[in-house]
Amino acid sequence: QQLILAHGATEETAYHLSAERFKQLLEEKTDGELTVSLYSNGVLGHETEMFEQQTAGALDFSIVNPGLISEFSHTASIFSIPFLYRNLEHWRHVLDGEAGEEIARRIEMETGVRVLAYYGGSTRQIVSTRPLESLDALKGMKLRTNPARPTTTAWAALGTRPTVMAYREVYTGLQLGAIGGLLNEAEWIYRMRFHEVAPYIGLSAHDITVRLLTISNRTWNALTPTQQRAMQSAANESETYARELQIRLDREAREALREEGATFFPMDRERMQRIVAEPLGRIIDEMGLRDVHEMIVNTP
Amino acid sequence: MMPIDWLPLLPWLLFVLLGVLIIAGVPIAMSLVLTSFSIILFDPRLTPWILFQRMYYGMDSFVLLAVPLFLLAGNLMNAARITDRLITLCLHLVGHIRGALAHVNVLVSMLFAGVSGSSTADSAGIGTVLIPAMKKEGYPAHFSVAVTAASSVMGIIIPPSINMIVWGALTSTSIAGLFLGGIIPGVLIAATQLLLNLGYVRRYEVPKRPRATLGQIVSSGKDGLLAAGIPVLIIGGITLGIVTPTEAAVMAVFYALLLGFVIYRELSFKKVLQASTDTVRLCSLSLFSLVGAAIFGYLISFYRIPPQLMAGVEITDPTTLLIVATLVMLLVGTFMDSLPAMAILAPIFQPLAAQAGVDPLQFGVISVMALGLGLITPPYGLCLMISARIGGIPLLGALGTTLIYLLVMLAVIGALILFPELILFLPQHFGPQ
Amino acid sequence: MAITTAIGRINRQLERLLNVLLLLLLAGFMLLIVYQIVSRNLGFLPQLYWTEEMSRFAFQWMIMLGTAIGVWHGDHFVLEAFPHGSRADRVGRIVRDSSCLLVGVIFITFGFGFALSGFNRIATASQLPMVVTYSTFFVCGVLILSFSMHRLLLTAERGVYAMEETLNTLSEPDEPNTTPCIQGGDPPPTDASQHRETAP
Ligand code: NA
Ligand code: NA
Repeated sequence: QQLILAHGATEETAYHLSAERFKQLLEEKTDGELTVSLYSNGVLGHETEMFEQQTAGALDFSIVNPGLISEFSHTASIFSIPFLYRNLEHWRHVLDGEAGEEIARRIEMETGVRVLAYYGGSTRQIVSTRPLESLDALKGMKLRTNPARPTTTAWAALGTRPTVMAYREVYTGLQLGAIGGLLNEAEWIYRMRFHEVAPYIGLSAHDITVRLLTISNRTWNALTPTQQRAMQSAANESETYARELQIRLDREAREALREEGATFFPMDRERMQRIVAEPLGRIIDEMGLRDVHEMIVNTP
Repeated sequence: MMPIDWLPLLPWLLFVLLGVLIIAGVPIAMSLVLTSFSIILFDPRLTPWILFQRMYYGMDSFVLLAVPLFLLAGNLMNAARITDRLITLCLHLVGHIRGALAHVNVLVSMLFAGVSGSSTADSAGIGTVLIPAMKKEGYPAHFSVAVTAASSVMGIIIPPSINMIVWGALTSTSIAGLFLGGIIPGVLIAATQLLLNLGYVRRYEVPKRPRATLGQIVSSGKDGLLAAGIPVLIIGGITLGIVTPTEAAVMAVFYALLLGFVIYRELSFKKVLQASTDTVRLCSLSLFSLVGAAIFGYLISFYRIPPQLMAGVEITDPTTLLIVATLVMLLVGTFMDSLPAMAILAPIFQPLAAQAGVDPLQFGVISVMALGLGLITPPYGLCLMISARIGGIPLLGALGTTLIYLLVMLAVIGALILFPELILFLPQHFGPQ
Repeated sequence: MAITTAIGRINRQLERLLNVLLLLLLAGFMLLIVYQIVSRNLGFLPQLYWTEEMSRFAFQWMIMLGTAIGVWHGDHFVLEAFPHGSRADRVGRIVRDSSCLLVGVIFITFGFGFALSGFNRIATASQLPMVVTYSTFFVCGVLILSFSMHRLLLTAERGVYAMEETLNTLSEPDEPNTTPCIQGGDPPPTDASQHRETAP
């Protein structure tokens, strides 16, 4: 039986390499009973549309950014909350522990799409056109963010002025001074050459990316229990690979950035978390995500 | 459920079935829907739900909203009799030259192209005035019809252009870039057509006019400049990043209303209502073919047709790829309207062009032009048909002369293929990025 | 036949209603875009994120409703492969309307499920369930069914060319046909002999 896995990224990314690993593992573990056909570059639709196809049983697998599926699952928005994890270790424990399990259960209940694995592992930082010696440097900075409310609220509380700008226009925006900074992962700062025009990188580590490897329930339920076990085990093994790969790419990109002259500034994360706690708390309540948030905070 | 062995045939059935339905006379948009639906029924991996999701996303683009708006602006300008004013201006400028009306025909088309987003509006608006006038002055009908039809093609090349907006939406190419990229090719076409006119009018006994006075030129120049405000507004607004193409289209509508109501005083509420009704009806038809093409494009990706084509013929040379693409588009454009043709061909050729390293702007402008030439070739040459009907001659009567103009435009395409700078110069130096 | 007349009467009312709706939709999304430009440049007006979303929704309804009217008047792009009056041409014209009918049936049958699936998704900015725009196909299907049924019934009664003479008219028959994208080909000859044929 041939199954289809689609994602929106290009072929040299961790997305694609992890998908290939999953495909290989699944085919091995089921002795070729299940095969996977990979579609990259979003040729079958954008991430949100692919996920919607899964909810309707019109696509088997996809790798999706949870921030893009909030239209179907409000639980998935939890991953849009900045300053959620204490560090990479905590991030791992959240995803592999009770919290991760509960989030996956709720997403499945809300959408009919099953989370097989949590990929991801890039750390998001702040890139700026001016040095970030202290948090005061953030005051009044025009910061390009995505328009999600938790992000804009947190960064407004930190003194910046969040603005929306198309990703393609960011480089020129930094160059011309239309914006003073943006939030991004080292890998993408490097790929997009943002450090050429904004060489100061604040290690805010305000977010660690999560990507969901998902399967449509319709596909899952049609599998035999043996096949399901094989698939889950393939997903788990690919998960380890995907995270290690993404974390390594992130580290390598930071080194490459440093070599090309970017300056890194450590940031007072504890103080940042204290500043955003109150306004973010209100939003978490409004979004009805208090209990999931508590689970994450209480994860050791 | 059919045996799995039939699955490899489905992608080819896609094209066969589409061809059969179109030739049988089924509307092109409906053919796309029906073909896709049949394939989906046959393939156990696909469900009818996907038909609707892809069709929906075919029309879920904010950029496409610019299409009805530019059409409305063009229709309002026609209703405000802006063509008459542009013709007067051009006559004042070149009326004293031999064969003035032929040159005016080209010049007005060039100016009007900057106002309207479509070529058919141009041949209708300009043809109704100029073809009878040319015949009266002694130009042969076939020549009058041919010049009108050929010059109207500039409507889709000089910005604003509905075809470029649709191309941009289909391929995620910068619309501002396409607009800027179309300016030099458009002017090149006008220049070559003027040269061709010079050759032709020497054969005809046509009168000269007295040279216009400075006062006449100034008074008609004012009207012409006001009309020329539209492209300035649009190109300026978009390239400076003040407005998106869609917002620029709204501004064009309001500008047209301002000119029509306040300055020219030609518009009435009834005329606006009529122009709006025509616009809405017309653009639904054009855009519904994009809706149908969206599911067709999905199936082309689903069956991985571009890589399969690429495996057969390895085209890595940009020039070769552009020549092949141009020839295919010329052929398809002959039988089909530009917009559905674009929607079918873009997903096939765009990955190939990217792989061969062709600049997306160069590819976009050339594709829009090559498909647009179908406007003056039978059997589906709308501009030629409209002009021939106005000229009161059978379509075949004007075909010979039109083909000469067509060849010249092909030569321009050839130049654009060999010298990408002709397209890329303006976007690179004045583009928004 | 009574049923043909009845459908024709319904369709005429439908078209009148649709024309008003279409104009309202056009005016609606234009105003929404104007508000976007104005609010972005004037600080005191709130930036409403749902304006972009609603203007797209209005646009989508406009396309699908306009498409349905286009079916009634035979306005859609076609390729005319056979000479007017030939047997193949007559058959082609009947195939054309039947295919539209089939599309209407598909839109109704399968578009209903698609419309329902819109309840599972909430539009980001306006917080409306997507059924508000996913239902366009179903509604368009119902209209297409009614319009193409009328065409086919009329063809059965009077022949395909006479039907087209009656229905293939733009809203203002006196206006010169200056509109692009209308189906190609010269207008059908009005020679009376063409009208006597009956549907096969
Ligand atoms: Na134009
Ligand atoms: Na043609």
